[in-house]
Amino acid sequence: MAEVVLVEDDEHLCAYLEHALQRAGHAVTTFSDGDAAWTHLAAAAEDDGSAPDAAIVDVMLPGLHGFGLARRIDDHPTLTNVAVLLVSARGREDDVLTGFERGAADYLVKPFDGDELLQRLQRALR
Amino acid sequence: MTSVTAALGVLLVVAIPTAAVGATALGIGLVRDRRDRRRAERTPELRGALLDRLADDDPEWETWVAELTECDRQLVATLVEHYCQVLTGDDRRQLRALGRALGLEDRARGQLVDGDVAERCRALRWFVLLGTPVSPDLLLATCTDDARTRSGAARLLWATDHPQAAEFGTALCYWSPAVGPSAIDADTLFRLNRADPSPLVRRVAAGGDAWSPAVLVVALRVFERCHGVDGRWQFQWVHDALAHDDASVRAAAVAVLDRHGWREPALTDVDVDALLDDPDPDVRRAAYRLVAHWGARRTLTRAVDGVADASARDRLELARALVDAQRVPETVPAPLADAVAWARAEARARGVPA
Repeated sequence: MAEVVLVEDDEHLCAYLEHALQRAGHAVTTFSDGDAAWTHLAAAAEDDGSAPDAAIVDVMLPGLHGFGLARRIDDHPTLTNVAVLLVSARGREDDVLTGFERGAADYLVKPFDGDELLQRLQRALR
Repeated sequence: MTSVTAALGVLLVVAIPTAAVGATALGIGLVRDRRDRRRAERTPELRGALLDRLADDDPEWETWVAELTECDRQLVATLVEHYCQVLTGDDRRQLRALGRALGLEDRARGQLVDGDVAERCRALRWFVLLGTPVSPDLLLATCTDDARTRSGAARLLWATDHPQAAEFGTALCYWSPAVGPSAIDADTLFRLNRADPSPLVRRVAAGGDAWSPAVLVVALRVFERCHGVDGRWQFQWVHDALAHDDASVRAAAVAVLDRHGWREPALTDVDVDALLDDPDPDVRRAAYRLVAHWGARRTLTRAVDGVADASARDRLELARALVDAQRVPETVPAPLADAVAWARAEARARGVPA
């Protein structure tokens, strides 16, 4: 079981992913915008040095966008081992490369297969 | 007294209807607000039930749908529509089965046959989301009267992978010479013709003479990005477009030859020197790129010598093309050397070795 932070502003997709992750045995904390997710992650890391195992992050978010959140996670000394999976409707090659350049472990393009996302999460957690 | 009575009369004539309209609007607003709140409260419960069943091997959608109220079914249909846009794989297949259990396919089929333009567009969208194949015959019978339904029908043929999707879909996108393909049509045309642009080329051959420059440019840009270009006959219309009166068509045609320049038939019998002398700067800029990528040594020398007396802008465009293609000659005339230095600085700023 892994601790997963899920950042997705699409309410229905967030519910779908939360449901799928929980069924796969993961503990999930959800956020609908990048700023709230970062506040939570940074506070947890500063307070007790804790970090989730993975973060599934939508790229197009209100406030701090997914690329920015991925970069902050990658740059933070306590969070640098968090596996970030970016999810986006933006599937152009330069978008994907930007995601990896910002520290993402993987990049999924919408529409995506829920089972594939779980498998990629497992691989990123290894 | 008479004037006071008249004023009161006018007031009543104006005030009563205004109050009635206001009360009606308020009533409608309250009903809608109550409905929206009920939907917002009900949606998470239905979504949870849908996701639980989605994870089951046998979701028994028919049984579940039979238990739902009409209002619930509308809400579930909204969820199916949403999830079909963001999910693929087994879950999407299950959502499509749920859509069929909700009767969405039957309703869409009825709307396609009897509906107005908006209803038919909505029906086509549902067919795409549910992956429901519709025969080209039915689409031709119901969708050719309006550009929006033609566009939706072409998209559906591609989305459902019909064996004749490219032929029928391309015909639908280019149905009317008066109404060119929309931006969505251009994307559909590319998807339909990407592997083999023969349907697009045949369409141009059949009616391209009557097309406006803007419509021809769309066809050229689609063709430029196609992969399965395999014969000289497919380039003939591009070669013809090099002599078109409209500069945007000529520039788009040169861009096609630049993209496909490695294919033997692309540049056969093309007068590249004439392209370098074109009066339009966009055509010359495209020609500089073409020459930088594919030009023989003689053509390259001709281009380099030719810009010595041309404008500073021409020199910079040629220099950029040569630097990007990494084909800057060892020695260049002085007027071009400054432009090359500038183009190299630009390339380094972009992180490109120069």
